[in-house]
Amino acid sequence: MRYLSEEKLEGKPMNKTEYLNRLSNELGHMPYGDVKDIMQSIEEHFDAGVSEGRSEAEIAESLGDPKELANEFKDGAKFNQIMKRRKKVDGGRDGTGRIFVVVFNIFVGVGMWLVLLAAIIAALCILGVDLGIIGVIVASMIMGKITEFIVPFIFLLLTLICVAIFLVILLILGIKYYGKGLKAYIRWNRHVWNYGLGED
Amino acid sequence: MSKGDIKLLITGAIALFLACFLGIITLITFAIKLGGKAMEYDWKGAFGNSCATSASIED
Repeated sequence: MRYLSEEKLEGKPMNKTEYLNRLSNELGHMPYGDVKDIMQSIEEHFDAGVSEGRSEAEIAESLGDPKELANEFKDGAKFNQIMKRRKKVDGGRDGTGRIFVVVFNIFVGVGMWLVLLAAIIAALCILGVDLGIIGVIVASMIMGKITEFIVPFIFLLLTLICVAIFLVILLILGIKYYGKGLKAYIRWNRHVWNYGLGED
Repeated sequence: MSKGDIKLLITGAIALFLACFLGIITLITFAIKLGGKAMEYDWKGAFGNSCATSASIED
């Protein structure tokens, strides 16, 4: 089978042969029997579409990027499942997903992320104050200002050091997972925006 | 969650526990010290004079 270069086809509407070529190229490492079945299903899908009066380019577009389709097959999805998802994609283009994203972000999403950001900033401020108090106590001890309450102040110092360690760890984990969570949230928003609300 | 994160989480939990424990000890030591100071304080001297002053005014 002759493979067409990806650069040549990028962004251009594909016909059946071109689409199948690219798909078989992307499916490269799958077992031969599976590739054969997949290619047959897609070919039948094209034939069915053409008999309904749709153009090959339209059908290729509705199937989406061959690379993404191949990845879905590699993930173990069956052709029927993928087609169901594609229908959901078409359903998601009615605008409900976009309305949901806007409304959800106005009333919940943005506020929630801002509250979490405020909590991180607050923890950072508390850590600053904590370290400041530790500095003042240590300086006072060195300068000999604290003479009477030396034992309680030593315990206070140890407490504040433990609080500082706790806050540093909280901030490290908080910032790390805030970033991860925000990325996942943005990805989810983009998915809902493009494909609407659904099971996946 | 990676192993490193779990270690950090455990360290944080220990630090929080120690902070609470040492915080309570700090409060107790401050209370003991202030209690000792209160015992040593001359309460009679401080309030005795004012009582005497008010009694002389009434007379």
